[in-house]
Amino acid sequence: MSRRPLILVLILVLAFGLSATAGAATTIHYWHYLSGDYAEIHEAMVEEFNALHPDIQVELLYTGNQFVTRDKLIAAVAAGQPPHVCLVDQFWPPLMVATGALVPLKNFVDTDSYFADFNQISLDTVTVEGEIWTMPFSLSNQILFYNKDKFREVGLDPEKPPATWEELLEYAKLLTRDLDGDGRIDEWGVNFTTRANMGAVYTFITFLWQAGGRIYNEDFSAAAFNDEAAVETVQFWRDLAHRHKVLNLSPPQEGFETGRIAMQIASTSSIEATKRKVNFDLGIAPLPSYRQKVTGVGGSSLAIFKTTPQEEAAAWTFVQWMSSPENNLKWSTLTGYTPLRKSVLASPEYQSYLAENPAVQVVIEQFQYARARPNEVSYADVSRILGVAVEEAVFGNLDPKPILDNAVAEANTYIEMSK
Amino acid sequence: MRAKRSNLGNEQTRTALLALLPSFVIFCVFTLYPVFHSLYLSFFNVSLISSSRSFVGWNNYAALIKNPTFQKAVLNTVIYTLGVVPVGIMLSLFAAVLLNNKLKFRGLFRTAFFTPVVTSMVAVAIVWSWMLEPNYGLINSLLSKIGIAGPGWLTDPKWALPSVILLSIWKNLGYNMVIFLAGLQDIPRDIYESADIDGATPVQKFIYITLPLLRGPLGFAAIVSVIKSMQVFGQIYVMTGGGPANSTMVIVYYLYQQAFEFYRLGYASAVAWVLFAAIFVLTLLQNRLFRAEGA
Amino acid sequence: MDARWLAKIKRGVIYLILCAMLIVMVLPFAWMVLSSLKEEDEVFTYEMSWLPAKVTFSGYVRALNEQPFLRYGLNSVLVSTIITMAQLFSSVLAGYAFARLKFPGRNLVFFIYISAMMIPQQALIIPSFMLIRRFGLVDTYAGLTLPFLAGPFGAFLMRSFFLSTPTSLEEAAVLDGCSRLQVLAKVVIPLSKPALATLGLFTFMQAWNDFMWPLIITNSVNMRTLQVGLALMKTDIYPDWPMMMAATVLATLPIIGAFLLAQKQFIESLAFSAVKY
Repeated sequence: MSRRPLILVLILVLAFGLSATAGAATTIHYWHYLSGDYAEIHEAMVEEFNALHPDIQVELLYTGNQFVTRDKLIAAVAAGQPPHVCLVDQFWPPLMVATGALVPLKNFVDTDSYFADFNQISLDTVTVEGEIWTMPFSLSNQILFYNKDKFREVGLDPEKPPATWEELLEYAKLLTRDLDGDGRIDEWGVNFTTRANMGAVYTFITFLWQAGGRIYNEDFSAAAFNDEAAVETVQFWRDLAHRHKVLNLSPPQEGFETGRIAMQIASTSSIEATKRKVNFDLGIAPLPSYRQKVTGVGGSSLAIFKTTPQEEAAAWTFVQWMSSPENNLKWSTLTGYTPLRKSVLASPEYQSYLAENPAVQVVIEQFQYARARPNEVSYADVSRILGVAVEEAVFGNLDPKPILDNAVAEANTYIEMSK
Repeated sequence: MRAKRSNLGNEQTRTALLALLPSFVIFCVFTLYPVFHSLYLSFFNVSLISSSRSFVGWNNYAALIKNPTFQKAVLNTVIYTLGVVPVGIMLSLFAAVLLNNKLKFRGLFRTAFFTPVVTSMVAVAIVWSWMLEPNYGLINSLLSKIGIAGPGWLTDPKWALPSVILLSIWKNLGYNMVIFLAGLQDIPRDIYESADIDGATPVQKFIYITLPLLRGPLGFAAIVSVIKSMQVFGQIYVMTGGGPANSTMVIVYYLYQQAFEFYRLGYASAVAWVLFAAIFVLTLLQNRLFRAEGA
Repeated sequence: MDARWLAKIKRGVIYLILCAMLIVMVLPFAWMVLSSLKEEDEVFTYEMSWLPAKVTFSGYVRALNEQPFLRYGLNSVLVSTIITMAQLFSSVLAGYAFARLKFPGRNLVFFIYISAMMIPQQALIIPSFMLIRRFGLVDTYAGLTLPFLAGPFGAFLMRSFFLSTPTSLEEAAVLDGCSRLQVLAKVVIPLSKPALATLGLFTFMQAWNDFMWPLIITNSVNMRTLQVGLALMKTDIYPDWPMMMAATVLATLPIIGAFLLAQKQFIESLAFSAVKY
């Protein structure tokens, strides 16, 4: 008789005890700069993580575009208040490592065995001085999108996209037309980012490398983007815009997707989004090349910042999950980013995706001659300076040499400061 | 008597100290100290990340003077000021003169002209960015209706700075107008009436009566406009980011970039001091100019 | 007859010009509101239309979802209110000290205050930032408000006001045995309502519209003020214009609303500084 209340009490205590240990969830602040089409997919992934992990809740915060996010991140780090996790662009790791605020991934796992499944190029972008500092999340290169219908309209073979700079110019000239005879161009031949504050430098250095130019000199002690190849590259861009008038420096929003621009150089990460938006026959081709075949490597990784051991552990659980084989497969097939893991590339699901999208094969093959951005602490500043210099010459229709010379001088002050 | 006065003196001093304390503390910490500290910093290379600093003497100032981007910033700031101040003041004066007549709806006009003034610069800059959008914005759409192909207002290096100048004139017109209106209304009517009797034309009345009597408000508007123009930042940040091709790079934006994007705090402090010195000198000069007669 | 005709024509022309100017002043606002009610793709047509083909509030929904606008608004209100209250407090006290109290060094201190008014905000911003950082107050309300709790301008304004009011009532109170501070509280302040309103409104507006300081002192999204939140929305290469216009409408509605309700006070408060110059 007297046992019943005791058992009841015991059960109640157990119940309370269990719920107490379940405890409050660890909140992880995750800053990122993804907007537009990937944003929703990305958000859905994070929500799924939160649903599956009631003890870890990730708060997603969009902190502006890459440039704004980077500035805010560095300021937050300097103030001692970094977020728990932040999405970092392909070339930020050296800079972030230099701040001393990152937690190297070897703290959580044996990196040699853990990352054996990841392909080399994705690891190159997150390795600084031999150690892996951030979790690769996405991988891309640059590709040429083109409108096969427009090609047909002007008499070009839709299966023969331009393979060289010369062909690019030639084709673009044919594809730039004034359709209604009112003296204004209605359709342009080619488009790529030209504004410095929108990241044009990423596209520019690919062209630069194709021309045989360099950003830094051999031992990375100074900037070297004012040689003949660099001048030639800037002139090419400048002439596309002003002399040949095939490149519109203020292009209509989504001009390619709406059929007003026939060719576009963009990141492979936008393949799926572009496919969804266009209602014409979409072509995907390797970048036209010049003296060398080069394409740029883009992407991002997830950085864990020093906070508390509990939060860092939760952050590790989160970033691991985001790049797990299942999620990397999902992310890659929904966006157009290239899989990070060899297992994903080889998986039947991805192979069938490739079979349905032969153009994506182009992307994967391009990685043979993809070049990542220099792994230098000063690169972020140097690239900003280069971007503005290119913009100045291109938008102002000016002689590139003096502008590049000045930019090299300014870049050198940053390189010196970073040593 | 003596004792009482010194008591009063002491009491007043003590009260004054107490009363002045809040204001003075904040003033010292956030105005006086930063002025001198920024001068101090300008002689060092300071890194935000590593918090280390190294003495470099006048190097920052020397580098500043030679830096082509800074030179461009100074040039653009001067052009901007010359574009905004005279035209802005003339338009505001014009509007004030018009409004100074007995009109119906005067309140409505005044409100409409003043609305841009109370709206934040960020909001205004965003709306104007949209209006000036080269392909779909209001301005180019209207222009195309009359057969003109509008340029990329904010993407063409030739047009970016003029666009920002136009925005600033538009935004501040109401402010100066209200000041001038108050000044105009202070002028007694009989001066004009006696001028009429003497057969003066409206233009003569304006030049010989109105302008001299408006010296105070005109001076104030000019000084304030020049100072504000030299400090322009918000609209540049929102509309152009200093570009394209540095065509809208101005001194304060350069300072912001160097300090908070490149983290060269010492160098940026040198920029800040150069700006401060320039504004200080200009203000003194303008004071002289406008206070010369009839202070 | 001719004179009257001329006068009528003159008035007509004046109205015409003023109306033209009024349209120019108001057009951007009208365009802002109309654009905010359009669908995203309607905006990207070459055939510009004034009115939305289909009025939709989806821009507003997107604006409120993308960024925590309510939070931004709250931050702005909080920060502006704190700054205004503090400025009124410190400026009234300081202005009174300068105007009515005799103490050694009064003229010198006041001269320093006046000179400081010429210092541009940007010259102070880096050291102030470093100071706030050293106190560990980056990204906090304290960091957002501390530098503005007092300033030379407010003290100058209140001093000017006090100097221009007669001292008879105050002297009477002193004779009655009140301390100076009591005189301030019981006699001067109640009579200073117009000046207080002017300074308060001016300070509130300045704080509300301030952009550069909140931009650099806040990092996390939740601490942003309205102006910063608004500015950072426009960083994408392909902006969602209807959403941006909706956001701008939301951000400007409060202050324009307040302005329309209290036009005289707004205009006077901004022009007050000119008169007393």
